[in-house]
Amino acid sequence: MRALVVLLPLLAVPAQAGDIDPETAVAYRQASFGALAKHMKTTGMIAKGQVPHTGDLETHAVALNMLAKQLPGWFPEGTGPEASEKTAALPAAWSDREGLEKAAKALEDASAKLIELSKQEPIDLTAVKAQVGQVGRSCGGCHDTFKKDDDH
Amino acid sequence: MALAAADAERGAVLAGLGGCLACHTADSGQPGAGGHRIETPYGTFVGSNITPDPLHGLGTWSRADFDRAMRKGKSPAGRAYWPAFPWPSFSELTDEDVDDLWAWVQSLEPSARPDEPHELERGYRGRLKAGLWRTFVHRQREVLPDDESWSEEVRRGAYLVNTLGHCGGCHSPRTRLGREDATRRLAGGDTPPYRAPNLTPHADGLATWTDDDWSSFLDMGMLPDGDFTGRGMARVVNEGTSLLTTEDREAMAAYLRQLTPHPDAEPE
Repeated sequence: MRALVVLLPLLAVPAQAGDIDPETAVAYRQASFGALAKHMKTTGMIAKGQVPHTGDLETHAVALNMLAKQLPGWFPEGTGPEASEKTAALPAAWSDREGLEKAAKALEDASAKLIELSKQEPIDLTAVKAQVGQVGRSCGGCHDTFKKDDDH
Repeated sequence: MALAAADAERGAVLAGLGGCLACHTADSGQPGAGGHRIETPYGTFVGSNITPDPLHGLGTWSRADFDRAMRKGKSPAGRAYWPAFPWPSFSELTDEDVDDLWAWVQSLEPSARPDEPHELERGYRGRLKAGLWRTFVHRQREVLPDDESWSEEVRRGAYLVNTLGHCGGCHSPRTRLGREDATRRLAGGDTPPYRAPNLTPHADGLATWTDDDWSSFLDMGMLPDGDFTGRGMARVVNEGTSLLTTEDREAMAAYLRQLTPHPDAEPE
Protein backbone atom coordinates (compact mmCIF):
# COMPACT_ATOMS: atom_id res chain seq x y z
CA MET A 1 0.00 0.00 0.00
CA ARG A 2 2.79 2.32 0.93
CA ALA A 3 4.56 1.41 -2.33
CA LEU A 4 1.41 2.29 -4.22
CA VAL A 5 1.29 5.73 -2.65
CA VAL A 6 4.90 6.31 -3.65
CA LEU A 7 4.27 5.14 -7.24
CA LEU A 8 1.07 7.05 -7.86
CA PRO A 9 2.68 10.40 -8.69
CA LEU A 10 4.90 8.60 -11.23
CA LEU A 11 1.89 7.05 -12.90
CA ALA A 12 0.40 10.49 -13.28
CA VAL A 13 3.20 11.61 -15.63
CA PRO A 14 2.19 9.65 -18.75
CA ALA A 15 -1.37 10.78 -18.20
CA GLN A 16 -0.25 14.39 -18.51
CA ALA A 17 1.68 13.63 -21.67
CA GLY A 18 -1.51 12.12 -23.00
CA ASP A 19 -3.11 15.54 -22.76
CA ILE A 20 -1.31 16.59 -25.92
CA ASP A 21 -3.07 15.78 -29.14
CA PRO A 22 -1.10 12.88 -30.75
CA GLU A 23 -0.81 14.67 -34.10
CA THR A 24 0.71 17.68 -32.35
CA ALA A 25 3.14 15.43 -30.50
CA VAL A 26 4.12 13.79 -33.81
CA ALA A 27 4.56 17.19 -35.49
CA TYR A 28 6.82 18.29 -32.64
CA ARG A 29 8.80 15.05 -32.79
CA GLN A 30 9.29 15.38 -36.54
CA ALA A 31 10.32 19.02 -36.26
CA SER A 32 12.79 18.05 -33.54
CA PHE A 33 14.37 15.38 -35.72
CA GLY A 34 14.40 17.96 -38.50
CA ALA A 35 16.40 20.22 -36.20
CA LEU A 36 18.87 17.38 -35.56
CA ALA A 37 19.19 16.79 -39.29
CA LYS A 38 19.83 20.49 -39.99
CA HIS A 39 22.60 20.53 -37.40
CA MET A 40 24.09 17.44 -39.05
CA LYS A 41 23.83 18.99 -42.49
CA THR A 42 25.60 22.19 -41.45
CA THR A 43 28.24 20.22 -39.56
CA GLY A 44 28.85 18.06 -42.62
CA MET A 45 29.22 21.09 -44.91
CA ILE A 46 31.78 22.61 -42.55
CA ALA A 47 33.63 19.31 -42.08
CA LYS A 48 33.95 18.86 -45.84
CA GLY A 49 35.35 22.35 -46.23
CA GLN A 50 32.45 23.48 -48.42
CA VAL A 51 32.05 26.55 -46.20
CA PRO A 52 34.61 28.27 -43.95
CA HIS A 53 32.41 28.47 -40.84
CA THR A 54 34.55 26.31 -38.56
CA GLY A 55 33.68 28.69 -35.72
CA ASP A 56 30.09 27.39 -35.86
CA LEU A 57 31.06 23.75 -35.33
CA GLU A 58 30.92 23.79 -31.56
CA THR A 59 27.46 25.36 -31.55
CA HIS A 60 26.09 22.64 -33.81
CA ALA A 61 27.84 19.88 -31.86
CA VAL A 62 26.49 21.18 -28.54
CA ALA A 63 22.99 21.41 -30.02
CA LEU A 64 23.20 17.79 -31.25
CA ASN A 65 24.45 16.69 -27.86
CA MET A 66 21.72 18.46 -25.92
CA LEU A 67 18.96 17.37 -28.28
CA ALA A 68 20.16 13.77 -27.97
CA LYS A 69 19.46 13.97 -24.23
CA GLN A 70 15.91 15.16 -24.93
CA LEU A 71 15.24 12.64 -27.69
CA PRO A 72 13.53 9.87 -25.66
CA GLY A 73 11.10 12.50 -24.35
CA TRP A 74 9.83 13.06 -27.91
CA PHE A 75 8.12 9.66 -27.74
CA PRO A 76 5.33 10.02 -25.15
CA GLU A 77 2.95 7.09 -24.78
CA GLY A 78 0.06 7.13 -27.20
CA THR A 79 1.84 8.91 -30.08
CA GLY A 80 2.81 5.85 -32.10
CA PRO A 81 1.42 4.50 -35.39
CA GLU A 82 -1.75 3.41 -33.55
CA ALA A 83 -2.58 7.08 -32.93
CA SER A 84 -1.15 8.84 -35.98
CA GLU A 85 -0.86 8.00 -39.66
CA LYS A 86 1.85 10.58 -40.11
CA THR A 87 4.42 9.10 -37.80
CA ALA A 88 7.28 7.06 -39.26
CA ALA A 89 8.15 5.70 -35.83
CA LEU A 90 7.79 1.96 -35.36
CA PRO A 91 6.01 0.39 -32.36
CA ALA A 92 9.47 -0.74 -31.18
CA ALA A 93 10.13 2.85 -30.04
CA TRP A 94 7.61 2.20 -27.24
CA SER A 95 7.94 -1.56 -26.71
CA ASP A 96 11.74 -1.35 -26.49
CA ARG A 97 12.13 1.83 -24.51
CA GLU A 98 15.51 0.71 -23.21
CA GLY A 99 16.77 0.24 -26.75
CA LEU A 100 15.54 3.70 -27.74
CA GLU A 101 17.32 5.27 -24.79
CA LYS A 102 20.49 3.37 -25.60
CA ALA A 103 20.33 4.59 -29.21
CA ALA A 104 19.86 8.18 -28.02
CA LYS A 105 22.83 7.73 -25.70
CA ALA A 106 24.94 6.63 -28.69
CA LEU A 107 24.11 9.95 -30.38
CA GLU A 108 24.87 11.82 -27.17
CA ASP A 109 28.28 10.17 -26.80
CA ALA A 110 29.24 10.55 -30.46
CA SER A 111 28.29 14.23 -30.45
CA ALA A 112 30.21 14.77 -27.18
CA LYS A 113 33.36 13.71 -29.04
CA LEU A 114 32.43 16.12 -31.80
CA ILE A 115 32.30 18.94 -29.25
CA GLU A 116 35.84 18.07 -28.11
CA LEU A 117 37.12 18.06 -31.69
CA SER A 118 35.43 21.37 -32.46
CA LYS A 119 37.33 23.06 -29.61
CA GLN A 120 40.74 22.08 -30.95
CA GLU A 121 43.03 24.67 -32.46
CA PRO A 122 43.91 24.41 -35.21
CA ILE A 123 40.84 22.44 -36.12
CA ASP A 124 41.44 19.02 -37.71
CA LEU A 125 38.71 18.79 -40.33
CA THR A 126 39.67 15.24 -41.32
CA ALA A 127 39.06 14.07 -37.76
CA VAL A 128 35.88 16.13 -37.60
CA LYS A 129 34.63 14.55 -40.82
CA ALA A 130 35.32 11.05 -39.51
CA GLN A 131 33.46 11.89 -36.31
CA VAL A 132 30.51 13.32 -38.25
CA GLY A 133 30.38 9.91 -39.91
CA GLN A 134 30.29 8.30 -36.46
CA VAL A 135 27.49 10.60 -35.34
CA GLY A 136 25.64 9.75 -38.55
CA ARG A 137 26.03 6.06 -37.84
CA SER A 138 24.19 6.56 -34.58
CA CYS A 139 21.36 8.24 -36.56
CA GLY A 140 21.22 5.48 -39.18
CA GLY A 141 21.57 2.73 -36.58
CA CYS A 142 18.64 4.03 -34.58
CA HIS A 143 16.48 4.49 -37.70
CA ASP A 144 17.13 0.86 -38.67
CA THR A 145 15.32 -0.28 -35.54
CA PHE A 146 12.84 2.44 -34.74
CA LYS A 147 11.90 4.14 -38.01
CA LYS A 148 9.79 2.86 -40.88
CA ASP A 149 11.81 2.27 -44.02
CA ASP A 150 12.05 5.41 -46.10
CA ASP A 151 14.04 4.08 -49.02
CA HIS A 152 17.52 4.52 -47.58
CA MET B 1 52.02 4.05 -55.76
CA ALA B 2 54.71 1.75 -57.09
CA LEU B 3 53.67 -1.61 -58.41
CA ALA B 4 54.30 -3.85 -55.44
CA ALA B 5 53.46 -7.35 -54.39
CA ALA B 6 49.78 -7.98 -53.71
CA ASP B 7 48.56 -5.58 -51.08
CA ALA B 8 46.19 -7.01 -48.47
CA GLU B 9 45.41 -3.57 -47.04
CA ARG B 10 44.37 -2.24 -50.43
CA GLY B 11 42.47 -5.51 -50.88
CA ALA B 12 40.57 -4.77 -47.67
CA VAL B 13 39.34 -1.47 -49.10
CA LEU B 14 38.32 -3.19 -52.33
CA ALA B 15 36.55 -5.89 -50.30
CA GLY B 16 34.79 -3.16 -48.33
CA LEU B 17 33.47 -1.57 -51.50
CA GLY B 18 32.63 -5.03 -52.83
CA GLY B 19 30.67 -5.70 -49.63
CA CYS B 20 32.27 -9.16 -49.38
CA LEU B 21 31.85 -9.46 -45.63
CA ALA B 22 28.22 -8.34 -45.73
CA CYS B 23 27.33 -11.76 -47.18
CA HIS B 24 30.27 -13.83 -45.97
CA THR B 25 29.80 -12.97 -42.28
CA ALA B 26 26.88 -13.86 -39.99
CA ASP B 27 25.47 -11.17 -37.69
CA SER B 28 28.17 -10.61 -35.06
CA GLY B 29 30.05 -13.59 -36.48
CA GLN B 30 33.74 -13.88 -37.27
CA PRO B 31 34.64 -11.81 -40.36
CA GLY B 32 34.53 -13.97 -43.47
CA ALA B 33 33.43 -17.15 -41.68
CA GLY B 34 30.12 -17.15 -43.58
CA GLY B 35 26.56 -17.62 -42.40
CA HIS B 36 24.74 -14.48 -43.55
CA ARG B 37 21.39 -15.41 -45.09
CA ILE B 38 20.18 -13.71 -48.26
CA GLU B 39 16.47 -14.05 -48.92
CA THR B 40 15.60 -14.08 -52.63
CA PRO B 41 12.62 -15.15 -54.73
CA TYR B 42 14.61 -18.32 -55.50
CA GLY B 43 15.15 -19.26 -51.88
CA THR B 44 17.65 -18.47 -49.17
CA PHE B 45 21.34 -18.33 -50.00
CA VAL B 46 23.79 -18.70 -47.14
CA GLY B 47 27.14 -16.91 -47.42
CA SER B 48 30.11 -19.28 -47.40
CA ASN B 49 33.27 -19.36 -45.29
CA ILE B 50 35.97 -17.48 -47.21
CA THR B 51 38.63 -17.52 -44.49
CA PRO B 52 41.83 -19.44 -45.25
CA ASP B 53 40.79 -22.50 -43.21
CA PRO B 54 42.05 -25.60 -45.09
CA LEU B 55 38.93 -27.67 -44.44
CA HIS B 56 36.01 -25.22 -44.25
CA GLY B 57 37.38 -22.18 -46.06
CA LEU B 58 39.67 -21.37 -48.97
CA GLY B 59 42.85 -22.60 -47.27
CA THR B 60 43.78 -25.00 -50.04
CA TRP B 61 42.90 -22.66 -52.91
CA SER B 62 45.47 -21.26 -55.33
CA ARG B 63 45.47 -17.78 -56.85
CA ALA B 64 44.11 -19.39 -60.02
CA ASP B 65 41.24 -21.03 -58.11
CA PHE B 66 40.34 -17.69 -56.56
CA ASP B 67 40.53 -15.96 -59.92
CA ARG B 68 38.26 -18.55 -61.53
CA ALA B 69 35.72 -18.22 -58.73
CA MET B 70 35.72 -14.42 -58.89
CA ARG B 71 35.80 -13.84 -62.65
CA LYS B 72 34.31 -17.03 -64.08
CA GLY B 73 31.89 -18.05 -61.33
CA LYS B 74 33.26 -21.58 -60.95
CA SER B 75 34.53 -23.48 -57.94
CA PRO B 76 37.93 -25.22 -58.01
CA ALA B 77 36.01 -28.43 -58.79
CA GLY B 78 34.48 -26.70 -61.83
CA ARG B 79 30.96 -26.28 -60.47
CA ALA B 80 29.04 -23.14 -61.26
CA TYR B 81 28.10 -20.66 -58.55
CA TRP B 82 24.68 -19.11 -58.36
CA PRO B 83 24.77 -15.39 -59.18
CA ALA B 84 23.84 -14.53 -55.57
CA PHE B 85 27.62 -14.49 -55.53
CA PRO B 86 28.05 -11.51 -57.90
CA TRP B 87 30.69 -13.04 -60.13
CA PRO B 88 28.95 -11.71 -63.26
CA SER B 89 29.93 -8.23 -62.02
CA PHE B 90 33.37 -9.34 -60.88
CA SER B 91 34.15 -10.84 -64.31
CA GLU B 92 35.59 -7.47 -65.36
CA LEU B 93 37.92 -7.11 -62.35
CA THR B 94 41.49 -6.11 -63.15
CA ASP B 95 44.34 -8.53 -62.44
CA GLU B 96 45.72 -6.16 -59.83
CA ASP B 97 42.44 -6.01 -57.94
CA VAL B 98 42.10 -9.81 -57.99
CA ASP B 99 45.66 -10.04 -56.62
CA ASP B 100 44.92 -7.64 -53.78
CA LEU B 101 41.59 -9.25 -52.93
CA TRP B 102 43.33 -12.62 -52.83
CA ALA B 103 45.97 -11.19 -50.48
CA TRP B 104 43.17 -9.83 -48.29
CA VAL B 105 41.33 -13.19 -48.18
CA GLN B 106 44.54 -14.89 -47.08
CA SER B 107 45.01 -12.31 -44.32
CA LEU B 108 41.68 -13.20 -42.66
CA GLU B 109 41.64 -15.15 -39.41
CA PRO B 110 40.90 -18.80 -40.36
CA SER B 111 37.59 -20.14 -39.09
CA ALA B 112 36.55 -23.79 -38.89
CA ARG B 113 32.88 -22.88 -39.29
CA PRO B 114 31.36 -25.35 -41.79
CA ASP B 115 29.27 -23.97 -44.65
CA GLU B 116 25.51 -24.35 -44.52
CA PRO B 117 23.63 -25.48 -47.62
CA HIS B 118 21.50 -22.93 -49.47
CA GLU B 119 17.78 -23.42 -48.93
CA LEU B 120 16.46 -23.00 -52.45
CA GLU B 121 12.93 -23.24 -53.72
CA ARG B 122 11.90 -26.36 -55.59
CA GLY B 123 13.15 -26.07 -59.15
CA TYR B 124 16.37 -24.28 -58.26
CA ARG B 125 18.08 -26.97 -56.22
CA GLY B 126 21.32 -28.45 -57.44
CA ARG B 127 24.51 -27.00 -58.87
CA LEU B 128 23.54 -28.30 -62.28
CA LYS B 129 20.85 -25.63 -62.41
CA ALA B 130 23.36 -22.98 -61.46
CA GLY B 131 25.40 -24.24 -64.40
CA LEU B 132 22.43 -23.91 -66.74
CA TRP B 133 21.88 -20.36 -65.51
CA ARG B 134 25.52 -19.61 -66.06
CA THR B 135 25.43 -20.93 -69.62
CA PHE B 136 22.08 -19.70 -70.85
CA VAL B 137 21.13 -16.67 -68.81
CA HIS B 138 24.44 -15.09 -68.06
CA ARG B 139 25.70 -15.62 -71.64
CA GLN B 140 29.27 -15.99 -70.49
CA ARG B 141 30.19 -12.41 -69.75
CA GLU B 142 28.72 -9.33 -68.21
CA VAL B 143 29.32 -6.64 -70.78
CA LEU B 144 29.86 -3.18 -69.38
CA PRO B 145 27.79 -0.47 -71.01
CA ASP B 146 30.81 1.23 -72.46
CA ASP B 147 30.81 4.42 -74.40
CA GLU B 148 33.54 5.92 -76.50
CA SER B 149 32.60 9.36 -75.26
CA TRP B 150 33.30 8.49 -71.66
CA SER B 151 36.07 10.36 -69.92
CA GLU B 152 38.69 8.46 -67.94
CA GLU B 153 36.89 9.56 -64.80
CA VAL B 154 33.51 8.18 -65.88
CA ARG B 155 35.20 4.95 -67.00
CA ARG B 156 36.81 4.60 -63.56
CA GLY B 157 33.46 5.33 -61.91
CA ALA B 158 31.74 2.67 -64.03
CA TYR B 159 34.35 0.15 -62.88
CA LEU B 160 33.88 1.05 -59.22
CA VAL B 161 30.08 1.07 -59.43
CA ASN B 162 29.42 -1.89 -61.74
CA THR B 163 32.37 -4.20 -61.35
CA LEU B 164 33.79 -3.86 -57.88
CA GLY B 165 30.84 -2.31 -56.08
CA HIS B 166 28.28 -4.40 -58.00
CA CYS B 167 25.77 -1.74 -56.91
CA GLY B 168 23.31 -3.18 -59.42
CA GLY B 169 23.10 -6.33 -57.32
CA CYS B 170 20.64 -4.42 -55.16
CA HIS B 171 19.94 -1.24 -57.14
CA SER B 172 19.10 -2.71 -60.56
CA PRO B 173 15.82 -4.40 -61.41
CA ARG B 174 16.17 -8.02 -62.44
CA THR B 175 14.64 -9.89 -65.33
CA ARG B 176 12.35 -12.86 -64.71
CA LEU B 177 15.37 -15.11 -64.98
CA GLY B 178 17.24 -13.28 -62.26
CA ARG B 179 19.66 -11.45 -64.47
CA GLU B 180 20.26 -7.78 -63.79
CA ASP B 181 18.29 -5.82 -66.35
CA ALA B 182 20.99 -3.96 -68.28
CA THR B 183 18.36 -1.87 -70.09
CA ARG B 184 17.29 -0.32 -66.78
CA ARG B 185 20.60 -0.30 -64.98
CA LEU B 186 20.46 1.04 -61.40
CA ALA B 187 16.79 2.05 -61.73
CA GLY B 188 16.01 0.56 -58.30
CA GLY B 189 15.67 -3.00 -57.13
CA ASP B 190 13.84 -5.17 -54.67
CA THR B 191 15.90 -6.28 -51.72
CA PRO B 192 13.20 -7.69 -49.44
CA PRO B 193 12.03 -6.47 -47.04
CA TYR B 194 13.29 -3.14 -48.38
CA ARG B 195 13.63 -1.45 -51.73
CA ALA B 196 16.99 -0.31 -53.01
CA PRO B 197 16.47 3.20 -54.42
CA ASN B 198 16.65 4.24 -58.05
CA LEU B 199 20.08 5.83 -58.51
CA THR B 200 19.54 7.23 -61.99
CA PRO B 201 19.10 10.98 -62.53
CA HIS B 202 15.33 10.62 -62.99
CA ALA B 203 12.67 12.42 -60.91
CA ASP B 204 11.96 9.02 -59.29
CA GLY B 205 15.66 8.67 -58.59
CA LEU B 206 18.43 11.04 -57.61
CA ALA B 207 18.04 13.75 -60.25
CA THR B 208 18.38 16.45 -57.63
CA TRP B 209 21.67 15.18 -56.20
CA THR B 210 24.58 17.54 -56.77
CA ASP B 211 28.27 16.63 -56.74
CA ASP B 212 28.37 17.80 -53.12
CA ASP B 213 25.41 15.58 -52.23
CA TRP B 214 27.11 12.55 -53.78
CA SER B 215 30.36 13.39 -52.10
CA SER B 216 28.75 13.74 -48.65
CA PHE B 217 26.89 10.50 -49.13
CA LEU B 218 29.80 8.35 -50.28
CA ASP B 219 32.12 9.98 -47.75
CA MET B 220 29.96 9.99 -44.61
CA GLY B 221 26.64 8.38 -45.49
CA MET B 222 24.86 11.73 -45.19
CA LEU B 223 21.75 12.29 -47.28
CA PRO B 224 20.95 15.73 -48.74
CA ASP B 225 18.45 16.47 -45.92
CA GLY B 226 21.02 15.78 -43.18
CA ASP B 227 19.63 12.33 -42.40
CA PHE B 228 21.90 9.31 -42.71
CA THR B 229 21.72 6.05 -44.56
CA GLY B 230 21.23 2.87 -42.60
CA ARG B 231 21.07 -0.90 -42.91
CA GLY B 232 23.26 -2.54 -45.54
CA MET B 233 24.12 0.74 -47.22
CA ALA B 234 25.64 2.15 -44.02
CA ARG B 235 28.03 -0.77 -44.12
CA VAL B 236 28.90 -0.16 -47.78
CA VAL B 237 29.76 3.44 -46.86
CA ASN B 238 31.63 2.64 -43.62
CA GLU B 239 33.70 -0.22 -44.94
CA GLY B 240 33.89 0.80 -48.57
CA THR B 241 33.20 4.16 -50.15
CA SER B 242 34.36 6.22 -47.13
CA LEU B 243 37.80 4.58 -47.40
CA LEU B 244 38.23 5.29 -51.12
CA THR B 245 40.23 8.24 -52.38
CA THR B 246 38.34 11.46 -53.04
CA GLU B 247 39.08 10.98 -56.75
CA ASP B 248 37.44 7.55 -56.74
CA ARG B 249 34.34 8.88 -55.00
CA GLU B 250 34.15 11.70 -57.53
CA ALA B 251 34.49 9.15 -60.31
CA MET B 252 31.57 7.12 -58.93
CA ALA B 253 29.45 10.28 -58.77
CA ALA B 254 30.49 11.30 -62.29
CA TYR B 255 29.44 7.91 -63.65
CA LEU B 256 26.16 7.80 -61.72
CA ARG B 257 25.18 11.33 -62.73
CA GLN B 258 25.56 10.56 -66.43
CA LEU B 259 23.38 7.42 -66.33
CA THR B 260 20.33 7.24 -68.54
CA PRO B 261 17.38 8.38 -66.39
CA HIS B 262 14.78 5.67 -65.80
CA PRO B 263 11.54 5.80 -63.81
CA ASP B 264 11.24 3.44 -60.87
CA ALA B 265 10.89 -0.13 -62.01
CA GLU B 266 7.53 -1.66 -61.17
CA PRO B 267 8.09 -4.36 -58.58
CA GLU B 268 7.45 -7.79 -60.11
